[in-house]
Amino acid sequence: MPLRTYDIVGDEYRVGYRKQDAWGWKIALAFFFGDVGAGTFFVSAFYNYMPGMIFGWILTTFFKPAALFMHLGQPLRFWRAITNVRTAWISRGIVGAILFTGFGFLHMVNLKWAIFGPALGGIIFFLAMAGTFIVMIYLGYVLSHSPSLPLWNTGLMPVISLVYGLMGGVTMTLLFGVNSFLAADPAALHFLKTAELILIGITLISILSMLHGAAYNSSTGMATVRQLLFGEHQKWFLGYVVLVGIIAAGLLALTGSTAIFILLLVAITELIGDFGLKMVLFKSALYSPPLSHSTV
Amino acid sequence: MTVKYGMVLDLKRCIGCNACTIACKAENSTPNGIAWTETLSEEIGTYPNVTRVYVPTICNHCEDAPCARVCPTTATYITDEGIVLVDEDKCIGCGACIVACPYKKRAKLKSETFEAGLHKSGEITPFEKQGYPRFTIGTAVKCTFCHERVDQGLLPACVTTCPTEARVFGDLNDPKSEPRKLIQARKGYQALAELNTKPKVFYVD
Repeated sequence: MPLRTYDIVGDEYRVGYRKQDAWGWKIALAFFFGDVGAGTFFVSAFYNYMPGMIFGWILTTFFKPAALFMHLGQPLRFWRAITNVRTAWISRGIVGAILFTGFGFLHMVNLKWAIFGPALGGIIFFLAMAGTFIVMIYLGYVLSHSPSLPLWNTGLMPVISLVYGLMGGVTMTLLFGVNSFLAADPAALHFLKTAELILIGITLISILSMLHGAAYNSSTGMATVRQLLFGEHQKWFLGYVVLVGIIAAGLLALTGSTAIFILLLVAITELIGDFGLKMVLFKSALYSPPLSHSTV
Repeated sequence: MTVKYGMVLDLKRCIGCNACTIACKAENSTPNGIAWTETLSEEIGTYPNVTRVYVPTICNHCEDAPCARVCPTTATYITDEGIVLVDEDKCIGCGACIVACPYKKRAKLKSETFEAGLHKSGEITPFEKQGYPRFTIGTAVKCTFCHERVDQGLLPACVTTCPTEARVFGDLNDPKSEPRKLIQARKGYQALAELNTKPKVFYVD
């Protein structure tokens, strides 16, 4: 006699797995712009590479809020989002974004015109970098903080979030800088190319570990992983996230080529994987049945 | 000792009529697609030894509510009596609370729902006209334990309506209250207790 299993029931009045449907592409886009923008600024700042920093700053300061405003039900009240840093990771992330926007701008001004002295300039740089770090990592804490969705409730989520931010930063800095500052600094070019490969490797291992953990955490986690590997979200996950975002990006990066076309392809594939993962995490997440009476 | 409101749902008595769902809708004028309480069904066993269980669900008004924890604006808060409410003037509609609730008992009010109306025809009934102004489009909504009725000494609408008295509401801090007595007599348990949200809705078999 087969053991009872649950179905994914959607909104039906049946006990079963229910889908997450409050977060979709708009907030995924907001987190994506924040990740990539903060990552690009973070990496470029270590080389004082102004175009990279400006690109990252614009992406996080304008594009991220624009996408967030599309998602919010009451966008004109957005300023209230920083009022619960005590417990809410969204508030902490917004504070990080504000730190990054303000001190990131001051850092770029200081770099261009040397307005502040070394001590103050150092503090500004540190605060800007702290802001970028928070923006890159906080999505992971937002997702893992809540116990409701087994796929998200893992300590790996902040790692995955951070690694994707750094990966985006490295690929974009390589793309923008290969014919400028990196042409004159082969050591930096070599470092960034190596870092790119390492980050792709870490991403792959982190995602595999996340799936493994979710699958053996609970039946809901297993049902979610089955959706990703064999079910409704297989095309997005295996296609865009794994094949394009990790394997294709990794193989292209492994060529070691610094041709602009190859670097552009690496960046595009990596960014497709980044956004694809956020979409697939949101779309595939399942809630556990409130009560279960599984019997044979 | 302060009052701590909670509820017991008797699975032996629940017949799955969903009168509670309709009573809640009538009391709170919730729009289409939003039901603050629902009774789910589950078939157990295989033919010919099959039975059906009805599982009423409602916001659990958790003591350690994840929705309150993740809310960036403190719009979701817990009253002194333990009722979890949403301040619609503070809510920015980010949906973090909806995502965080393990029981999926929160919803976001969308403008298209109000525009379409209960009959999805674009025509708004007099019932909707009197009820909808209490809502702010774009914000999160949830069960309030009918706190306005409770403040007047009444019971929540779903409790009053239940024809089999499968819902028992009261003060969990009072050892002589009906919910406390039921929980102790019939070994009440919580939904998804392992998530440590400390729900104040208990189930008895």
